[in-house]
Amino acid sequence: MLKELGARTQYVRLLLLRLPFEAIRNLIYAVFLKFSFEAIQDMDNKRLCLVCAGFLAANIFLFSYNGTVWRFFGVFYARLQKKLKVFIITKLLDKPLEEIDNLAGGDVLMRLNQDTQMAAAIYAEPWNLVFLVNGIANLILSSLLFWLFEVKLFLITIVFVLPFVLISSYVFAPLLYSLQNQIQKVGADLTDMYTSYINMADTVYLYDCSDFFLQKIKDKNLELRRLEIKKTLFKALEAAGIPLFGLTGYLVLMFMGADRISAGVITTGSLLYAFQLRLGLISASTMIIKSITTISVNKAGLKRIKELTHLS
Amino acid sequence: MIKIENLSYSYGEKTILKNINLTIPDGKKIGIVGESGCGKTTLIKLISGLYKLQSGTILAEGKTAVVMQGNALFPFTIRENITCGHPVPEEKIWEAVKIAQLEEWINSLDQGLETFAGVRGDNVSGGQAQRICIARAIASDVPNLILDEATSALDIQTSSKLIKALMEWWQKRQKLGCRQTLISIAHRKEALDFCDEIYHLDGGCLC
Repeated sequence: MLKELGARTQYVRLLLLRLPFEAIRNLIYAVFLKFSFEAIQDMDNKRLCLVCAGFLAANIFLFSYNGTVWRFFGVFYARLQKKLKVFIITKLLDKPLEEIDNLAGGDVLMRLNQDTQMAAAIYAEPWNLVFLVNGIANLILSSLLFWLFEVKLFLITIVFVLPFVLISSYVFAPLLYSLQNQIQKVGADLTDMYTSYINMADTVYLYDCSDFFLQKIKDKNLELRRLEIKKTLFKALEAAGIPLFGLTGYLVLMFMGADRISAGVITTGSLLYAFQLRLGLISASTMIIKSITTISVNKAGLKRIKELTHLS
Repeated sequence: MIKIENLSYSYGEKTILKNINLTIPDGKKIGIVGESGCGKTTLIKLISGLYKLQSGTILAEGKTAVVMQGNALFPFTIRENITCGHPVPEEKIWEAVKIAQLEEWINSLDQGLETFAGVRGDNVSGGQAQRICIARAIASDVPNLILDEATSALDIQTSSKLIKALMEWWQKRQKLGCRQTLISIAHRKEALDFCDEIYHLDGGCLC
């Protein structure tokens, strides 16, 4: 889609700008915890102040950088939506008249508004493609650092994270995609009903079927609400699973780390460093899972636009 | 019976109908012809109560069913489009379907009367949509029936069959004591051969 709209190069640039943020932030937090707690253990106040100052400076830089990059993304999102709407209209006008006649008003409106927003969101909104790529980068860096720190602790953490990643990708994501497709279809039907009710007000009046029409609208609305509730429920279930898996892994890591501290193998600072890397793994997994889910939901909008415009 | 007295109607400065007087007794079939924009549809909308009267009176006994020009299908099934959600007996629906020359087509559909016949037009052509609207008017079983260019989207053969079936049904009802009034509107006089009387609407006057 981006290629057709002439926005691919700009998007890749933006993606690369945002790519290192999560990974670097996680590394900074891990290093800060390690050095600050080691300084506390050694009762070295000067070193502690230096570590804190470095941490503060790094955070200020990181968050200013992040804000600037998101500002660019905001402009890109607005421009992409505009380009996409113009593209859809142009494609519509290029269509043979018989195809245009077969399109319902509600359907076209839905594609122009909601579907366009959803399709553009895949590329420029958080928890979509941007966070998916960031999550992968963060996951790779955190895994690498954790592996270098201690293979056994890394593998235990992975054992608690992996099942949930798989469940989310293979159970929740397809389910939510299918639900969103249904929501889009029912939403378009509802818009059709509203437009028909307004456009055919004379027929509705003549045949005294206002109550019947409104009941149909009410039923369709209820169907839409039910689907939306279902979607929220599945999203909540998925969200509840993340801390559950995360907490179990945390407890195991704490007990194993305590043994190693007692044995003098690692310092408290090093355990906290490991905890931060573990947190990086979990937050990266969460980013990937949530992004895959949101992308699969938003893909329903993109799919509908592709149907209309034959975009690649 | 429909009785129109001293009816005038204007859109702003432009007077469309000037002092119209017309009485249509029960059981009569009348036709109205006239050029495009002469006020035929406005007259119908006034008779059916869709437009408020500006001057004059219209007395229409009982309800009026109107088949408008163009596709007036709801985004529902064929059955719902015909019944409009009212409890219509099955035999009455099929009677209307037969008169509207839809029986063969509906029987060929996998879901029959339950087929979606909405605005998308995936399943329904312009002619079929118009005939569904005619079936709706017939099934509504009201004393006054108005057809506004109701067969304009049909080919001559289907149109003739439909008019013939409609007249047979109308005569059968007359014999049963249901004296239904029928007003049909067309551009050309030839399309109104089945009417008892034909009026010409010209320059806002009916003659």
